[in-house]
Amino acid sequence: MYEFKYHRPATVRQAANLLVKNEDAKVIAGGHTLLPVMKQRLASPPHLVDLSHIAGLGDIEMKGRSLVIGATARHADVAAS
Amino acid sequence: MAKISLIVNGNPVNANVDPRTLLVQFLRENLRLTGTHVGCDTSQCGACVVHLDGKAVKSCTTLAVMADGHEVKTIEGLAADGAPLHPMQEAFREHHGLQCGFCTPGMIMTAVDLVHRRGHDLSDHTIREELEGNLCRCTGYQNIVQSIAAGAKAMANSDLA
Repeated sequence: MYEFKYHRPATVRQAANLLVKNEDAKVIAGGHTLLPVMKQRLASPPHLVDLSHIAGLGDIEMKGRSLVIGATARHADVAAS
Repeated sequence: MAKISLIVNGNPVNANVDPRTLLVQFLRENLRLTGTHVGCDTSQCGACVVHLDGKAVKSCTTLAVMADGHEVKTIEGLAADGAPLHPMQEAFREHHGLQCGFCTPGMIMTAVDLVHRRGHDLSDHTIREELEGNLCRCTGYQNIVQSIAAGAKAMANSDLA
């Protein structure tokens, strides 16, 4: 795997700022697609922005009549909910 | 380098790691916890399964920095040194759920997670389905499935999670 700089934003705003500042950054959540590709050196992003510590992004909840599944909700959590 | 602090098998660990260090590399090479194995290194075989905050993950496809602030449990953390084995380990021994043993740590960590999610009374069908991400190249899976069914039952009467 090539070297990269790891960022761990705590809010969506911080994540968005990081992505604006580093055009060639990739976002990572679970990593089960991106990491194997990086290990094989098919991708070499100089920056990784980890979304997994942004509170609320993985929530599963009823909002009025809509079921909202957060972007970083795990398959296992969706299946178990 | 990135600073990380996490709990591994109940013990706090602080370290400076290159961000591209995989969790499995960190466990094996920095902490010398070599019970977690690297089989395929492409997230298919499941020999590297550990628990991250109680959930089974493949540690060859997780960065050590992603475990910062979290709790990791490896095969070494299931039962204390010299103490009786964890019921799932004991079941694998009793039912001959291994031949060479390379896949066993991952099998057992997956099995323990399976029991946490699906309970103590597991059908063969459920076990086989849940073992999708764990490969064994020695055996048929017959004894592994038997071991997990027995281990799941034994875990109901055990203090060890």
